[in-house]
Amino acid sequence: MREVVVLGVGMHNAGRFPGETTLDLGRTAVLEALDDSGMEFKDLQAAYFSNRDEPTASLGEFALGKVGLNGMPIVNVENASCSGSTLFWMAYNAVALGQYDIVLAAATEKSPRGLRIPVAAVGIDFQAMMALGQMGFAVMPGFAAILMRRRMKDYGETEEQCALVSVKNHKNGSLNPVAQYQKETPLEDVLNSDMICDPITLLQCCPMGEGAAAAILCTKEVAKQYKSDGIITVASAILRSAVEFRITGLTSAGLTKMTADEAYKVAGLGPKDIDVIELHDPFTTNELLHYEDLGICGEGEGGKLLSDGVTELTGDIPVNTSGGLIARGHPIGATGLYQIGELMLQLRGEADRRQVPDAEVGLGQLEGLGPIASVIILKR
Amino acid sequence: MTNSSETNRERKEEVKPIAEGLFTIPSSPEEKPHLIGTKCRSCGTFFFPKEVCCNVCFNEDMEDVLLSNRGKLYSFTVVRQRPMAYMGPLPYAMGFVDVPEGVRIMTLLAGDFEKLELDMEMEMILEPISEGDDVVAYKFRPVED
Repeated sequence: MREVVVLGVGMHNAGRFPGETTLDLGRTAVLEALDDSGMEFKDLQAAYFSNRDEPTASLGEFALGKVGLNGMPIVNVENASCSGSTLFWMAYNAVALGQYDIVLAAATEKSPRGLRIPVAAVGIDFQAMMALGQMGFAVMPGFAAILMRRRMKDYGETEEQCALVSVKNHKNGSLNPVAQYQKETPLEDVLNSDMICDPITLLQCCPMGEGAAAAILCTKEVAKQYKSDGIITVASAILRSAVEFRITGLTSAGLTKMTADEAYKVAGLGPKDIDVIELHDPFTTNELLHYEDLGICGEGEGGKLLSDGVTELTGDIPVNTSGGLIARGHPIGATGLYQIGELMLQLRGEADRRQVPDAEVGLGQLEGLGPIASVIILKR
Repeated sequence: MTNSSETNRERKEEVKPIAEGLFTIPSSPEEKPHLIGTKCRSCGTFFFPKEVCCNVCFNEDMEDVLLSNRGKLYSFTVVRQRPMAYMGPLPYAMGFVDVPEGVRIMTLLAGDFEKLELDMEMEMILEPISEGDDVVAYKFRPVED
């Protein structure tokens, strides 16, 4: 395996951009990644591209065609919320295994507003699937709410602890010029926002939105031809699916833990070595659960870890410094690359007012419907 | 006097399940409805809804089984925003009920949801999603002693 680095990243702002097409957003992110890498489009050898919500074929060819044409293979990938991290994993493997020296991972997204439908959780025939929708089960925040109520009984966590995830992530988002929401939201605002599914309120749900992000990966040797600093090493990139597909209900917690354990093992690092984390917080409950999956606290200790301030920007292990899905936004296909973008800024010391002092190792984690799990570890 | 079994037979003809193969419809008042699951003949794992092959050992020798119509409430939520495809009243309660076969059933919850508590005993019933519908869905409600 060759040592792989991230040479450059690019991010269009997340939010709503009625004046720009999906292709425009992608163009901005790719041009920025090329610029950050000190590279031209013709230097790219392959591109992996993702988009979740456009009903068109081969969007990657169209989007990259707005930047350049060089005959390289372009592959379109859909892998739910793990789409962006899947591209990164593919690019990492292609470079590590010697297939290509320079690979672009890019994603662009304009998602419609409103509740999404978790249909893939129902591995049955169409009529039965429709029936489950008609019965009102197609409600994603419902599953986070059900899990939270169970955690409240089992671990004594509170609605306030859950809501504090949103307070923290909005606070971080207010310091991130890329974030969809750059506004602090006090605890009472979070608790008093519209109840979606008890105890999950509107401000505890990530928004749907628009955005685009890109990363360029290459070998360490090749990187030196383009840049001398700001080069970040990929310590591990792990993607997994479930080892058992039973509808036990709520989460694929075991899957993410397994994925994280493998990522730590490959990187030769452990939870104590991580300085900054970007994790999957589509709803507040998920963040508490993933603290435990990633081993930064024990089972049932997620709420306490948060309310003790450990995952705040000023804490020992700041989590979702970008604002996370809740404040930075969740342009689905691109989210994994937004995580990479934020970790790159942190590890380069370029995260400005939300900089984690002397951050050397960063971790990005996502879960996708399937279930799918990804964990990526980067180091300075 | 009305012949009750005849009335029920008539009712059964009127009642339509929301989907075929999810549950049985009783033909008499003494009979209880059951969810229809599958059991793997090789490793014994139960599934609901039905699976064509076992997701644990990948054996294809599956048999249809009626699941217990009682279980324990794992957890629940009260949904206050209308999700796509749902036509019933708002708010409504949904959750998971653990039945003795080891399956966690995703289900609507009937009755007063203020009275729901985690780990309480629940029983399965058939009810229209909206009052007056002739299409019935399965729901669980607290067992009344």
